[in-house]
Amino acid sequence: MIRRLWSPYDGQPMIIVDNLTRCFASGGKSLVAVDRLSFSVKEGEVYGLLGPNGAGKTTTLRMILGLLQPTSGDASVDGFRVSQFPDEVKRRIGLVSASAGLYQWLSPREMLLFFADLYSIEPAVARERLESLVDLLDLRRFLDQRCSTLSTGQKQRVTLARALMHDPPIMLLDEPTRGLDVVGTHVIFEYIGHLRSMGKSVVVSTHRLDEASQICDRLGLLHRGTLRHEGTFAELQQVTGCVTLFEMFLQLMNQPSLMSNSLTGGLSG
Amino acid sequence: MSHEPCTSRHLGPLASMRWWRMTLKELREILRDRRTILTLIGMPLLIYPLLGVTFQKLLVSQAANKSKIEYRIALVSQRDSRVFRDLFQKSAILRAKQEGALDLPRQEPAGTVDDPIWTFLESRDKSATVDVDHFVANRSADVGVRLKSGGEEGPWEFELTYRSASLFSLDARRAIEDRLRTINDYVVLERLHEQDPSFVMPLGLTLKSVVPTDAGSSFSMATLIPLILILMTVTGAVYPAIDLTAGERERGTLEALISAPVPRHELLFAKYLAVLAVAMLTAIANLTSMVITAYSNGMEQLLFGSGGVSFRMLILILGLLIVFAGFFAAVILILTSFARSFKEAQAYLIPVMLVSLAPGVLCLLPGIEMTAWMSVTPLVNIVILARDVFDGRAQPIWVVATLLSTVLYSAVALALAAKIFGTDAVLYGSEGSWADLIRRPTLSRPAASLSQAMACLAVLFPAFLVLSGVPGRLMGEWVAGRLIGNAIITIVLFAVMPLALARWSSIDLSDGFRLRGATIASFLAATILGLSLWPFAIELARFQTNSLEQSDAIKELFERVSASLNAIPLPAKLLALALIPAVCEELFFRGYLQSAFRSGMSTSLAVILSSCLFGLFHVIATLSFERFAPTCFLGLVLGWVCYRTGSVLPGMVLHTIHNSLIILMQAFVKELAAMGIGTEADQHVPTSWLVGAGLAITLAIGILFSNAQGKQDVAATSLIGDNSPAAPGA
Repeated sequence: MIRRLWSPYDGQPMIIVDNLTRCFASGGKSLVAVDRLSFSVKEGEVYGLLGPNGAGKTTTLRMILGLLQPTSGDASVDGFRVSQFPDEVKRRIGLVSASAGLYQWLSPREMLLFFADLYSIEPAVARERLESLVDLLDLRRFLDQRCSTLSTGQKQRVTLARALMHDPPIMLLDEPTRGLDVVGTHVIFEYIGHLRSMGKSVVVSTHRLDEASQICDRLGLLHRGTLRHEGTFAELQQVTGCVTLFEMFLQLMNQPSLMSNSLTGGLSG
Repeated sequence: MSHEPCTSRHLGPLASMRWWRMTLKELREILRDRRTILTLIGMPLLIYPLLGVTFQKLLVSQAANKSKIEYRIALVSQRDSRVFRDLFQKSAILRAKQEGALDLPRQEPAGTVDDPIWTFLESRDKSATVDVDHFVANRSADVGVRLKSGGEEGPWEFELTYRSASLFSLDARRAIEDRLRTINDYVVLERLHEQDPSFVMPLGLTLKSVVPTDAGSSFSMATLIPLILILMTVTGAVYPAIDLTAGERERGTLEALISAPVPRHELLFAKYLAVLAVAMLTAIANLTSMVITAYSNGMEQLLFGSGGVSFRMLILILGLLIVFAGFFAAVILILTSFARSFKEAQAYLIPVMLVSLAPGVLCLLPGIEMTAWMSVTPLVNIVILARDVFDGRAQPIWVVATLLSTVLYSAVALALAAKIFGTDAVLYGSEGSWADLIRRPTLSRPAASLSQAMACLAVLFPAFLVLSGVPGRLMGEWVAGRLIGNAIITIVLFAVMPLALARWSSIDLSDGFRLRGATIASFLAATILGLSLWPFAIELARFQTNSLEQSDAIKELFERVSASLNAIPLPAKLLALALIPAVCEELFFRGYLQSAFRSGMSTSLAVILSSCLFGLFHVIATLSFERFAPTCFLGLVLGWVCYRTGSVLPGMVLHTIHNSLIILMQAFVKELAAMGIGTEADQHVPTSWLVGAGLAITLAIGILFSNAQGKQDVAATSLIGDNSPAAPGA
């Protein structure tokens, strides 16, 4: 039988990332995308993983979900080691990714019920949950249209509903606002608010600093695969002496050891 | 907090039938696309009637000539006609007597070559003379007859007019000559008998007609059916296979699919069933359209053999189609699962299509018969079996062997596809700056990637197919020239090309080609193996081709240049046929290919796969399927030696010695025959030799096992990811 490291009710974090490292072979060159990264996310907490493009945010989320094999280190989700119980981990996580697509020839209803089936949800439960998500995300109008006919905003809402069909206790949001307009971004904010009210643990990766300080309980500043600062927004302000997240970022990138980084010029100039 | 719904994993029958619901979803997705319906089902419904009409037109114009042979004979005058027709009638009676028939010939001529219809054209006017030359020239008649001289009782002298450019006119003339000669012969014989009653003609002829045993009475269109069968299955399977794997990745739905707690093989199996279903749907649409077209055009006997279309035959065809489509869908899924985009998938599939067409064309050739080895050669077996089923000469044992092996291959292919499908390399391989496929890498890497090896193969395979025929065409009978040409092709394709590609992509030559030193013990073992493998190779070759006069292991190197090879000096032969192929092939198959394969799969699978390709290339080079088993066997040994020693050099030594020995045996065939080792089919290698060779092989294997260098190779070929330097300061 499956053995958990701990029971979910003994106050342990929902996600523990322990020394995760991932190297990519890039045509002979080895690139360290994530470098001995460790952090944890408590139950009901919204954790923001911040960093510029290429900082390793997406790679980290994929390793937590078990889609990518870490080069070394491991993560645990709700007491299950990702390396040992990939399916138990997947069962407990909902993934929202900006690059996710929909099945063009299926309707949102068919697609959502298909995913419920993939997560072994009983048909009756799945239909019930579909109804509540339809109300929550206002999908009624296009529920039986083909996905290919939907607008960007409608597609986004279907993707958000898809991640919740199996009612996972943990949500991973990978750049959820990328490519969205003001309305779309607002939907995401409301969605995260809903997740928080449901008591779910959420990890949001983003490079949009303005939104992160509003919605996250705790923030992790990621740069070149390592965690540079971690804490609540107030804590970060105290540690770095900066008022805004943007200033913290500039400071992070202007650290003497990183002067050679070409990104520095681009961002500060 | 709701943990409970997420742990609802044991749903019994509900979960176990999920693969079926997944398949339905995939099918729904494919079939809602109207383009799919149009190309896969609409097209055949349109194409066959169109083809049928064209085909029928062609046949009708030919059949009009062929069904009844009628010779039209123009005669100058009514008198000429009377004399000629009298003689003709007489000759008919004489002929019937000669053939032993007592009655007069049938009234109704059959209209065949032996019994044509004769039509006599003469003027109604008694005194008129007809210009028969003119009628023959303008094709109103086939032969013109003019009585040049002769009274009522003969002798007569006829002049026959014909068109020398027309085969038909020529045939008519010959037929008349034959008929008239009968009378001459008869009279001569009569006279001779009068002189000498005991006279007998020096030779007699009896004619006996038999029906050919191979393909019915004539060329059967049934031989074309397997080709059509392949094409329709391929067209049916390709599009959905790409769409459901590479297409899913391209559209961004694969990640969500892989994020679900469903085993990847279950996902792939559902896709496989959907692809199979669409392929079968296409096949059924094609078959239906084909049968209806054939039936309405009255061509079903031509297409489906003398029995016409029967229910039993349709069931058989559908059964074969399912097996064939099952195999094909699995193979295609390997490639499309590997691909990261629609375009890439198409690029991978083109070589496969070319290869799969080859057996279809092959079974059109006369004299190709099902053998044990053909029945287990993928694609070839099913195509030949399909042809045999149509001809009604399929043997149960080959049916079983073919079906079993094909199902087995399908399962292996499916397992392979499931292994590749949705792995992180495929899922994220082309993302960001990590896997920039076009940019030339700057730092050295241990081995070629799997995709690069596939790309190399995709170029090499057609190049090899095309080029291997060139020396023969260019050099003609000049054997030395052909040897040089083949050697150059071998060097360019198997050594220069992979080396250049590896250099371009900064692959470390010593790692990527296993071009590095080995212990003396390794070379010793390789030498022993090279000296002792041949009796088994010969026995293996003989085992499969009892009927061939020469052992295939010996034919191996001589297929293309066997004639007058003896004129080439032995050292040159050894260089061109032993050393150069051995070195180049080792470099490519064991060095490049096997290393590349090992970066993406287990060692044993890499060895097996590269050996199979090694065998396949030799099959193509010599155009004999019997080459597959002995070459594969050699490839497995060489692959293992390369793995154990960590270097291709011992393998090169082994391969060179093995090839050289076989050439030497060819050169000293007489001397060997005296020792009881012959190339004749019934001559086995003496048991004592086999035992000795077996002992030597055991010794070599023992040496290799105790050789510590094998371990070194294991470390060097582990996954690239594991190989990368540890994180700084780790």
